[in-house]
Amino acid sequence: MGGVKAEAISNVAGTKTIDTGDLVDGACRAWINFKATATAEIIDDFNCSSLIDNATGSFSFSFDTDMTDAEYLIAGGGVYDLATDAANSDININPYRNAAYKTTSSFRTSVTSNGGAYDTARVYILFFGN
Amino acid sequence: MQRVIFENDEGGVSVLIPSPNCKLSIEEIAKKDVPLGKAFEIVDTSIIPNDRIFRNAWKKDGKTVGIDLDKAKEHTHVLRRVARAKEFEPLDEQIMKKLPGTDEVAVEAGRVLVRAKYDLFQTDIDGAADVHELKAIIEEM
Repeated sequence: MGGVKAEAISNVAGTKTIDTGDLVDGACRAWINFKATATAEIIDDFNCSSLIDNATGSFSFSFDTDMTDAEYLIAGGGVYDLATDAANSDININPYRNAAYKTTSSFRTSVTSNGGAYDTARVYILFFGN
Repeated sequence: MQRVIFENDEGGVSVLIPSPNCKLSIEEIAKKDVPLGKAFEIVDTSIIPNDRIFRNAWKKDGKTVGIDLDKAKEHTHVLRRVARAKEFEPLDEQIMKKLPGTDEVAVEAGRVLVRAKYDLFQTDIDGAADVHELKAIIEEM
C-alpha cells in the first residue's frame, strides 16, 4: 500500500509537532449518528456497515472494517426530542456485560433515558481503539 | 429504500438498516451482519411500522412485520401500572407524611377511586380485540 511515512508532522512555523503514532492511535475508528424514533434510520456514519434495531432502546452496529481487538472505547449521547429541549432526560449509552455484544465486528447497546429503555430522536456514538 | 428483517433471540423482530456510506450491497451486508444461522428477508422500508409504541411486540410474519397482541397487552399493562402509580403518589404522600389537618378518610376515598379507575382499564386491556383498541386505552390513560 502506498502512502507517506513520517515520525511526526509539524506546522509550517515548526512551533507545533505531533507524533504520527499519536495521530493514528487517537483517531476515531468509527462513529454513527442515527434516529431511533419512528422507522429508525442512519443520518450519517463512518466505518459502519449497518445499524440493527432490536427493540425499544436496543441497537447493534457492525463495523465496515473490523477493529483489531474488542477492547475499544465507546462514547456517546443523544437528543431526547428534537422539538423540545429536555435537558433533564439523562440519556445514557450502555454497553452490555455479555462479551458477545462487544466484538471486533459489532457492538450492541441499550439507550436509556431516566433509567428506562428509550428511542431517542438522535443517538451519537463514537468508537476509539485498535 | 430497503431493510433486512429477522427474528431475534428474544422472540421479537430485528430490523437491519444498511449504512448509506457502505460500498457493499444490501445482500452482502445482510450476509455479513445478520447473526449466523438467522433466516432473513430483504424488504421495502414501507413495511416497517412507523409507530414504535408496541416496538417490543413486533413479530416477523414472512416478509411483513406484525404486532403480537398478547405482548402488546403486556406492554399496555406496564403503562397502566406506571400511570396508576403516578396518581397514587400524591395521595400516598399525604398518608405517609401525616400532616396536621389531613383528612385521611377523604384521601383513602381518593385512593379507592384511583384503584377503581385502573381496574376498569385492566379489564379493557384484557378484553381488547386489536392494537387499535389498546392505543385508544393508552391515550385515555
